[in-house]
Amino acid sequence: MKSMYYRILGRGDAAMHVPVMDGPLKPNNRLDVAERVTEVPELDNLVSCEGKLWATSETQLGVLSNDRLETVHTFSSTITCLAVSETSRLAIGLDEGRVVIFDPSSKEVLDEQVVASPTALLFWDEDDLFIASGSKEHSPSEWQADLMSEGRSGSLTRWSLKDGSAHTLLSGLAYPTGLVRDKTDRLVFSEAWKHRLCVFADPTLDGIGRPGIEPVLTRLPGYPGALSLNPDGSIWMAVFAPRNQLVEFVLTEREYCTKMMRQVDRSLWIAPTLRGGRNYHEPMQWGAVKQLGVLKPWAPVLSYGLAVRLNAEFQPIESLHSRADGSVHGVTSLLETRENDRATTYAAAKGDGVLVRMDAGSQL
Amino acid sequence: MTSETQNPVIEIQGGTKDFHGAIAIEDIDFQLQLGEVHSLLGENGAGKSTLTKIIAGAHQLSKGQLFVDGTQVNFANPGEALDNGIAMVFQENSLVPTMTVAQNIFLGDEKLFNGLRKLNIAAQQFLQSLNFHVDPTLLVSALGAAQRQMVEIARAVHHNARVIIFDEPTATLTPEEKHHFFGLVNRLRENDVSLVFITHALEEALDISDTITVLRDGRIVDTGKGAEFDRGRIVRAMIGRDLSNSAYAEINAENRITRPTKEKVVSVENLSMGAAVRNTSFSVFSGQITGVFGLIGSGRTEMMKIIAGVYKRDLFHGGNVILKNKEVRYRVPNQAVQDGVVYVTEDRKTEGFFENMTIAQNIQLGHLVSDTRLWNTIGLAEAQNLSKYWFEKMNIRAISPDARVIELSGGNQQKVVIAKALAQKPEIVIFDEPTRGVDVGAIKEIHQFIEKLAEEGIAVIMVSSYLPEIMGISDRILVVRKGQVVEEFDAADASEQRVMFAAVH
Repeated sequence: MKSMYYRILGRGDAAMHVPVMDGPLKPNNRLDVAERVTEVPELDNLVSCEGKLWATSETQLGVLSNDRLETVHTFSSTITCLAVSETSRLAIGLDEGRVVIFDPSSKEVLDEQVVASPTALLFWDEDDLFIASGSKEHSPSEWQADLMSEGRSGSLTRWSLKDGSAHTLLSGLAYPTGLVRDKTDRLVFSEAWKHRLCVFADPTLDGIGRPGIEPVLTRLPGYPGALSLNPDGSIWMAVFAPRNQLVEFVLTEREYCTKMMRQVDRSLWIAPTLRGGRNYHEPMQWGAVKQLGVLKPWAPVLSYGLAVRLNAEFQPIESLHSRADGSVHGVTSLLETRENDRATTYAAAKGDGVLVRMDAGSQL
Repeated sequence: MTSETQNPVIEIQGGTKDFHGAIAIEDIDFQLQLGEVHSLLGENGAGKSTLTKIIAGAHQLSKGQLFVDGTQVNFANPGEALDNGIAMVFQENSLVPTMTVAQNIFLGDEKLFNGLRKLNIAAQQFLQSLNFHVDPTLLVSALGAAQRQMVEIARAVHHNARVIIFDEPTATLTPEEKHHFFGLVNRLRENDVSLVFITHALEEALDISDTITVLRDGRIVDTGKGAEFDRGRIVRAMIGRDLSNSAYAEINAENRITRPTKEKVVSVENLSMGAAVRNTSFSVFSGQITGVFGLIGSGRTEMMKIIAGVYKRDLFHGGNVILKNKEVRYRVPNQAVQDGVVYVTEDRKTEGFFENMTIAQNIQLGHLVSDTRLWNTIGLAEAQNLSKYWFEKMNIRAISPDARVIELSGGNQQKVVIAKALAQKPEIVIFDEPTRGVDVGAIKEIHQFIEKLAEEGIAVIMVSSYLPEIMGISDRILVVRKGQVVEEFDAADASEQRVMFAAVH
């Protein structure tokens, strides 16, 4: 009844409003004017380990050296997420449904765990690894399908590396895609399809009883992804795709959406993407705001480049953008380093396969 | 056109006016020449309005003489002054709200058989000749403050007055409308109409005046040719000291320290209300001043009134107003007040206070409105303490909190309106033209107060059509055009040209 009321009046869930990007989220072109370090297809998952910058490209794990990605190991499936422990062990999520513990010095897989759809990893300490699984039905590479089928089957698991036990702490999540331990030792995760950040409200982190979640940042204008903690306690949040009123509308039209998913090639869906606008068969959105062949930066798009820095209270304080006419779309990973006492931020745009570097981040 | 050899059109010798012992003007010698634009400047309460109301017949001198064309007169009422060719455009306008624009313009000048159609056509032609874009068929009650002011001016011009007194005529006009207005002033001057021009915008006075007279505490402290004055001389004369860091001081964007954004407290998504507000979205953050700039009629006030529950957005697909992550849709403004949202109106006389009540009573009413208890009462001692606190905090210049609001000057009335609003303990304050009709001294005080509110963590929205004000104290600037927020500027990036360009184009 309430749903019908909302549909008639255009309110509540039926309103299909997308929050505006203003204030600290005011559009700019900082990602586009940033220094382009290297171009690697599907560059993702930046971490710092033993003073080196690690990243992944499809199935390859590598180190960035002389502004090139040097492959260290190739896995059997696309690498979806990466985490590093204090003793420099790497946890690696694979699209085929596994998480492995990898020793970069010996290049050996030390342990592994089956996880349906690993999307984010976090070493809490040497013995405990938190694993975000995006979905039970779809692998990470099928994230669009999970969104368009209104997936709510994500979970958060604690894997004890000591005894090998895995304990699911939360389930029914709307595609958790980022994990971070904040300065006050709280576990924070992003829930992409609900456009929000949440704190896992269980101080013991053992999932006993009925652990809840506390949303700390809601109504984001895009789908939040990876999170990374900066030295000053601020957090970089990658927003891998923008929300769009057309997509919000399609999501409410279940019959149309199901038919589209069944009958149309995935690259042509009316759905967010890491990089759009490359195929002239794509739906009308891109062409609608072209004037004299030039795509306007404010065009309603299916892909966008956006990274947001949050303060310790999870409020946005600055943002990096690559707008409709930009070329750093689909930012999936960020990492802040200190170089010559200055904060330098690296952003990996998986959509455009580019790594950019800029002076941005913590003010220490 | 100004001729010192001519006899003055208006002359006051030794003019004194007291209201029950309180001296408003004292021993004033004033002359207005033929075809002269004579600006009267001074802080609120300096006596400008009293002086001009005496000329216009609204008040009579307690002592001294008034001469018109060298003949001593004593007008019993404004009608007598009008018969002598003296018209006044009041700061708080005197139109009949239930009549149309055309009917108001021709009020008192009706023919025996008035055809409404002919009246409207004549009014339309007349308004067009003045470059005022107002629909003559609209009821005055449906007009905004600026359009009412235009009708007031048009009415004075229509009466073919020889002397027109403008009390803050440009306060509600946009820069473009001001441009037209000054063109009109020049045309009137060329036709030997003498103009008295009260304003708080010093730049306007310097631009347009043949003669400038500065009053302070009811006395003339400086007078001379307009060309001999500069901003510093006027300010020194007005307040007896230099005024730095005011709205009129040079604004150096590089030195501005912008308050950082904190929590997003208001989020407006796809807000629509008829043709006035069209599918607009914006956010407001705590601890910041969000300046909202736009031309009159751009929909700024309407947007803010929707947030404050004064207006209702469209029933179907009217958009969302999200207050601290809670979707709200107010039926009455009191619900907004309960949620910590207050709106300080642009039209203080009609919507801002109860003019026949005292300062204390107005402030206490503000407090009572925010009380959520069913039987909300306030003890006598508490009420007195409350009004005393705000009376002192806002530095309201009156004998006591028991003075009636109607007796206060414009600036002090505005302080009462603000005190009444802040007594509601708000978390979000919307100031709509907070310094309209307020003198420079009070402007500085009000600005400092607004900045202090933001520093205390309150989310402040300040709607203003005065660009230096917007540029001076806003941390971020939203520009509204045709019912939509069309551009956002950081204070450091904004320039008057860029903001104005966004508002116009």
